[in-house]
Amino acid sequence: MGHEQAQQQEEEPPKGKIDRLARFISSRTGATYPLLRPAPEYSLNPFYWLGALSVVAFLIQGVSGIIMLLWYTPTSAAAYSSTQYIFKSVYMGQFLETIHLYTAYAMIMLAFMHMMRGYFVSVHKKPRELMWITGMLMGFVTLGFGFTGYLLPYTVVSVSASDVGVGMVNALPPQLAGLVNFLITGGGSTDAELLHFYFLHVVVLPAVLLGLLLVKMMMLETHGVAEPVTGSLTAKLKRTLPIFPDMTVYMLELAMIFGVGMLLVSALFPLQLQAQYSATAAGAIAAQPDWYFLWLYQILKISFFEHAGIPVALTFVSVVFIALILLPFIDRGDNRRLIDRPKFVTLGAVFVAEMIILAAWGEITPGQIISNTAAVEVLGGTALVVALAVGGVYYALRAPGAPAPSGGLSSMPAHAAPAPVKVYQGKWTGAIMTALMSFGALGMGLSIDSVAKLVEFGFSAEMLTRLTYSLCLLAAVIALTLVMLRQVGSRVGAPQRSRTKVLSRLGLN
Amino acid sequence: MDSIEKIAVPMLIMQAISVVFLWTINTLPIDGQTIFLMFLSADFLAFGLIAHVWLSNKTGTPARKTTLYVWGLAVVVFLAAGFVAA
Repeated sequence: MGHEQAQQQEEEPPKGKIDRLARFISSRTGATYPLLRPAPEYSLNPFYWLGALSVVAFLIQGVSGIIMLLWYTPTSAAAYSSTQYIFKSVYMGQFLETIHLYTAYAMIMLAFMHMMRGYFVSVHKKPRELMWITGMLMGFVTLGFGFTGYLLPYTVVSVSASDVGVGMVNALPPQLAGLVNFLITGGGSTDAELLHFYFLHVVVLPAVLLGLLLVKMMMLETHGVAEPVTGSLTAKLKRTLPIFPDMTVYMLELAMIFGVGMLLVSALFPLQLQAQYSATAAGAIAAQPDWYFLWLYQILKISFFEHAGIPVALTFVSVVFIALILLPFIDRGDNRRLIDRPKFVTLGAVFVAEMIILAAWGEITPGQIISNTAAVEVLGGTALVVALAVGGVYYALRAPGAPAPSGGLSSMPAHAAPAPVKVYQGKWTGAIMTALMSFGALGMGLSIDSVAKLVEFGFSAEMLTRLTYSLCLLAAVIALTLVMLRQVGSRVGAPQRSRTKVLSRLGLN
Repeated sequence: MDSIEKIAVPMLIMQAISVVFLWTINTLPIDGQTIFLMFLSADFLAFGLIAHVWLSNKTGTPARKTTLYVWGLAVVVFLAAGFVAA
């Protein structure tokens, strides 16, 4: 639209000398041509901007990181003292360190949410297959940022956790392990390792991420924003808005809210510098990675993988991630609607629940080996319960013998046309249901774990209390889900209630 | 005045005052940093509010009154918290 407007303007005769000069400059420099294509109005929704917010977090990290570079020294002797100097002697130093860390956390969380949203609404399908793969690679680079940045302050926790990660590399096939080890650790000395981590963190990974971002943006320009799979797409929502100023202003609005959130968290929970690394201090703590790697660490702690070896665990995790990367070629077909993809929706829900359970479980069992029985009970139980819950929802909402509609929202058959709903209502209903499902999975996992421990080790007050709390959590989730379902029903109007409308509210058609 | 100006003018005045005040804060100790963050948060929220109202008018979807009141209240709370802490 912007290009057409600019072309139309050019075709009109110039009005005076200034207009002629302005047109000359515009036509030669391309200044008035918008760089990016206009976006549809339905994309004025925070869930469409999770990836963009992740980029905002990256930019905040870039700015705070560059300022910290002025004082940071990447040698094992001076890394800690220079970090300490930033904390104590630089104006806003503690804030810089805090916001750098918290935006890194936010970036990882937003990237994960962006990926899972994309998974559930099938943005990976034709013609956006390569966008999905590029996004997955960007996700791995984001995790790489976390891994390489964690070592830099050179505290006892950061060095110990990084050593765990570096140790895993040795489980790779010898030739590959040698190469990766050299790239990451640089030959063995602590100084070389720190310098390599530093170089990867401030030069290589940002360059790779920016390159991938450029590629993804080019593909986004080609294919545009994916249509929503829920709610009704009115003509107004289909209307496009120019990227500047409309979409830019919306992005700024979201960025401001995100920024306030980060500032608030930084003010309430300022980062405290931990103790300096020493071999003695490291021996006194249970090395534990940061929360975004806890799921992986917890898998490695399972007795089976302890005995079979890290290569088996890494192979298992790699297979899962390769499947995620190649998802566009596994989950094929044009149908993007949730109601028509029970298999993949269930797999996605189980994946999210397992990640949350593994991370939470890892947090409460630092350094403990997990027995095979407990692993099967907790992880298998979680998978079973989530699968049954999702299956139950599908069974309840899908009318037996109903023809499976094909095509996207635009090709929805007349009988399935949802009642006009406000898009934000549908989105928030979906978000609340997702949150309830996550808490439900957590409650179930903890309950199963508590019961398993009670059976294995006998009754104890601690386990009984834990079981009570987890059952209370579960009961609260069930009660809230029932209230939510009732609200959804009453919002669409009891006399006119129909399965289609409830489905629409739940974002399942 | 249209609705954007009604919102934008007081917000911009508030932002100007808080930005001037920001430069007087000693941000070496953690307390000073917290006050700085309170004022900066108020500025960010004020900017976000202007953007929200402008975009609502542009798209023809009127901004909800509750949203505007809560948003405006949040700006005042952050500003007041900054002054109290200072």
